Amino acid sequence: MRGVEEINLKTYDPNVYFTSQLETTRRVSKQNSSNVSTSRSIKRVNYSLADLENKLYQTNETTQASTGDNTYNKNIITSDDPTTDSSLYMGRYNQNEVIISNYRCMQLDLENTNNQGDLPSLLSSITNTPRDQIESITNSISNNTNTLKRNNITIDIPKNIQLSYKSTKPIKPTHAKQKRNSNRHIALKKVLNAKRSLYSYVEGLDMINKKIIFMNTYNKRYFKLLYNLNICSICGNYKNISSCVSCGDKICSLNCFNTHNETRCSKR
Amino acid sequence: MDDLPIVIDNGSYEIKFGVSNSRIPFRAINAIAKDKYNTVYLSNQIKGIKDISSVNFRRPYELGQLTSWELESAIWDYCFYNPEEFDGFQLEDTSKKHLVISETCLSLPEFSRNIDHIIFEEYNYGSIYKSPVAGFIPFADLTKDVISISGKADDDDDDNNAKFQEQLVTNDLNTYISSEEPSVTKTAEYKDFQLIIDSGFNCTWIIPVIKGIPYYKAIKKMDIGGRFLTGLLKETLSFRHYNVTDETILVNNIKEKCLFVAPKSYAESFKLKNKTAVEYVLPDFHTTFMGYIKDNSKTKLPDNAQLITLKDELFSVTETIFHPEISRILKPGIIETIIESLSMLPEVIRPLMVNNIVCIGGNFNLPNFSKRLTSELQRQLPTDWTTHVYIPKIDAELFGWKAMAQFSDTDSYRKARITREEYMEHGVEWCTKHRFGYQNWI
Ligand SMILES: [Zn+2]
Ligand SMILES: [Zn+2]
Repeated sequence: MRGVEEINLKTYDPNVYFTSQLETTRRVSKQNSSNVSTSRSIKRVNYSLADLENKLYQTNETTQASTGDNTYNKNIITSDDPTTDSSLYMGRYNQNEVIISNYRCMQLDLENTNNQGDLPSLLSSITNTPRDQIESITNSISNNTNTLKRNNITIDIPKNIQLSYKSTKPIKPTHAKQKRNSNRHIALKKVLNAKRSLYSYVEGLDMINKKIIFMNTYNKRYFKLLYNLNICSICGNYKNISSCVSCGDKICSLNCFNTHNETRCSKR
Repeated sequence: MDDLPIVIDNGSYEIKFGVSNSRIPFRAINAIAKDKYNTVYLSNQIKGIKDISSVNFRRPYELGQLTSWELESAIWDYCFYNPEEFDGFQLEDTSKKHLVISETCLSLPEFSRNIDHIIFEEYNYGSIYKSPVAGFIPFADLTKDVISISGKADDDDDDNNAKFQEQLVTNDLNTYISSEEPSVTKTAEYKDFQLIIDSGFNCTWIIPVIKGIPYYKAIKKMDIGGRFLTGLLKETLSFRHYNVTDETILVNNIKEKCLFVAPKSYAESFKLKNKTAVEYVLPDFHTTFMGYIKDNSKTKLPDNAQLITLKDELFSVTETIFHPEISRILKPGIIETIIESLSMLPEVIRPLMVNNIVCIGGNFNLPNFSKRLTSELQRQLPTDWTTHVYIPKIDAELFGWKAMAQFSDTDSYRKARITREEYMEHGVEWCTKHRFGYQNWI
């Protein structure tokens, strides 16, 4: 069964979308069992795609917000507009927990694990959290765990790297109408030689674009639809899970708890 | 002047590029790397590294943003002026060449400007069209080498795959209509409504595309991509087996060769973990550099071979996509992210969007990922909505390039590209603000 239905080929207009979604009481996060009984009583409407498109792209912010009918799901759509990333989780996790989670996520996300770079600065610029706050929280953790040896390896681009293969690049300039010292040329060299890291660019962004790129793309408020899955940090089991009182890691049995105590417990 | 455009899908992991009529693109690793003897390797030279331990990478991208043109231009030169590596391919007079290129969704405006600047003034292309990969997907042919999965089951037979009916797509809306009555409607160049899930190296994007344009208000992102999964696998293997924190190439290979997504649930797969276990032979640097999966039917292993047995690691790492909490990440999973994106769309088109989901990006090469996604999502939606997912049969990481190549053969493309003259007249700021950047649509 397809969601798009009843296309009459004789009268089909590619600019019209047929839908049976009229009921405004529908909620996405409820378990589907509650919806079964309502699924038969369906009114059918067709919408002009051209109108929809206009609404989508040409109206201003406020009318756009109202097209997304707020009865859709009150749990999900909220009117608050969080200014910092961390308020996203408020009510469920405290700010320290959120910072630790974000930091851990970034650490795991490093391609060169032992090459940490300046994670606190980057995290600070992206989430609008003060850098010292991030540092003090994350330092207090890493003091207790075995600190990895961190050798921040830098990889410079070797001069004449093009000699490492048979380059056929023509000798510049091929289109040398441009003056060597023109503003354009200088700007081009500046782009080509830039050595700044992402953090410094993000710092230079205005608040509006920063929000668009780094904040609005995340869920506005913490909500969970799937059940909470806990697995043992030692053996992967998903049953009889409890937490280590000292560090919070998930454990399933006495055996695993002992292993945890001997090796992984960060508060031992 | 209208010869075939050059098409570049400039991914942060790998660059896919070639002439638009090629069946598949060339691919080049978008990085340089240094081994423990301090030798530096450029792009695909990395594949030739023998001693893969302690190799470090540097990429032109940082968190998906193209920050270093110093490095990117060195890698582009390697791609474009290196016929020996790429089957005779090389750029000649670019001033008459058209370029179709992808860029990160929501690039910083400054980086977006830099791309145009470099393409016109360093590489001298004659014209350019640029968009996030998702913007090209509506132009992709979903009738070839694409599998379609429906979230609605014939629940009757309770067999393995009862939840899914899988078939080659033959009857999507556009082709159906055109084959029945070709005189009435001409097959459209693109699909009007699609929800693109692009799970790549850097992260996973949820991008609604309406009439070929990303709908920016509802774009959502989840910070779990291929790089994260490799990192998490490193941590898991290091706790349980050997310290592999410095073994990026090895662990990435184990990820690609062995990992899968639990098809139904973590619990179900956990019960079967001994059945699905894999023995991986670690590199000894004599008989194998990369290691391999032990095959019991094949010849005996060398005497001192080191093995690791992988059981629940194989699917617990990928389970993080749905349940980030198991790796102590307090962020929403992929289903919550999709639902949030849907909730930002006008209500009337939501069921249409879930009926037209397209999954692209390398992580969808993970076995069962798209199936699991379909059933988990269906469970969260009203019963009369049908989740319908299209997924490339093979090489999910190449699908974006193929869509770009198909786009480059349309009138829409020929109308939308920016010529060198327009660029010279209006300047680089204009390209980003009024043509290619997100600012044009917000
Ligand atoms: Zn256990
Ligand atoms: Zn503990």
